[in-house]
Amino acid sequence: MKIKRRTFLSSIVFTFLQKPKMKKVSLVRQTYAIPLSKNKLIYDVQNKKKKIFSPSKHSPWAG
Amino acid sequence: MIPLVKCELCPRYCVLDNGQKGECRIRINMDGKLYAVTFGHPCSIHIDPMEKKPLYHFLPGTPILSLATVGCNLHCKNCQNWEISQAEPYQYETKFIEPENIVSLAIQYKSPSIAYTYTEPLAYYEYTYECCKISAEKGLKNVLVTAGYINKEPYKRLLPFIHSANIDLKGITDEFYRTVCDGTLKPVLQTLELTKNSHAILEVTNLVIPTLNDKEEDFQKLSSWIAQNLGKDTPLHFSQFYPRYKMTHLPPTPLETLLKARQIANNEGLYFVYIGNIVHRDSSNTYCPSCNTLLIERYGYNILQNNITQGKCPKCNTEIYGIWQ
Repeated sequence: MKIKRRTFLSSIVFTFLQKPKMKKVSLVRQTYAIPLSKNKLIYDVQNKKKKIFSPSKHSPWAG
Repeated sequence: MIPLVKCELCPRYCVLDNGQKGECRIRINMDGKLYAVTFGHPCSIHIDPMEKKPLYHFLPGTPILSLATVGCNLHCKNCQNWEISQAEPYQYETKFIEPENIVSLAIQYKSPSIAYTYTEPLAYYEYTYECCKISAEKGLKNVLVTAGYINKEPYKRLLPFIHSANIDLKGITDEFYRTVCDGTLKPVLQTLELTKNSHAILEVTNLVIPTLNDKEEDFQKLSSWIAQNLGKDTPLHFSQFYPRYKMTHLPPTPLETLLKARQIANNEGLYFVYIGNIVHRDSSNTYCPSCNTLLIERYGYNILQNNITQGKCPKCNTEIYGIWQ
């Protein structure tokens, strides 16, 4: 079988250029995130003193 | 091998390694999938007056259930709410509240609308979207108070459920956005145009920061852009800056500067220009653009009189931009 000279040379060059332990990286594109399950805790909460819902007074925040 | 995730919600296009979170701090790559960490976890819920948003042309004098989760995709050095907008999710204790329960809360407290506000509702997009969808189905109105830093496609998906928005136009130069907000101007202008071209009532806020965006040419350029691209009927609020976060070295905006800004915007042809974050009697009233009749008199967040009749001036019958009841 006849081996093309150019293909043969390029395969040698690539073999030497590629680092043996280099991982291939894959990329996933995502616009919309998945809501985290309500039971799944991924953080320990630091600030436990803030009241979340205060219907009787206006917010101290701007906006 | 766990893949990288590229988040395409906002113009930052964060590429996240496993376990890494985006610039907004609330979107995270977990095992090759993007998760919304704060979905269902508001850090603050209040019932505010509509005028506080500020919205002056949308259901005046009504209460509005207002909520936020932590997180923002901009990092403005002047942020007035930086304690929650720049916080990490673990810094605030939250309770899981389903979108359905947010809507029930609004109904229970007789609030005809819900505001997604305080931090950045477009960063906690999925929670905003679900709440908006359910709320619209129940006949309530939805309000965004946002910096408008989002990509076109997700914003267009959300817009049909939005009835009014107050969008911050923080400055009118790309340099201002890059140096002060860690963002860019163009996507914000795009969001403003998309909103104005939708059925939603749009109001614009410009926070005037001494030495950074308070030159006469800034006010002139900003007002002119609004008049030409959004229309002269778009309400504009010039808001007073208070020294906060990384800008405590700057003084509050003087009243004279805000009055000057208002005058320049009026000269550019804008019909409804207001001054906010400061109590100044005349500058928060609405006047008819045709005959100058006093339509709504406000003091702080209070409505002293509302003379608008079926969306029109009672004297000359000119239709006034807004949703009034």
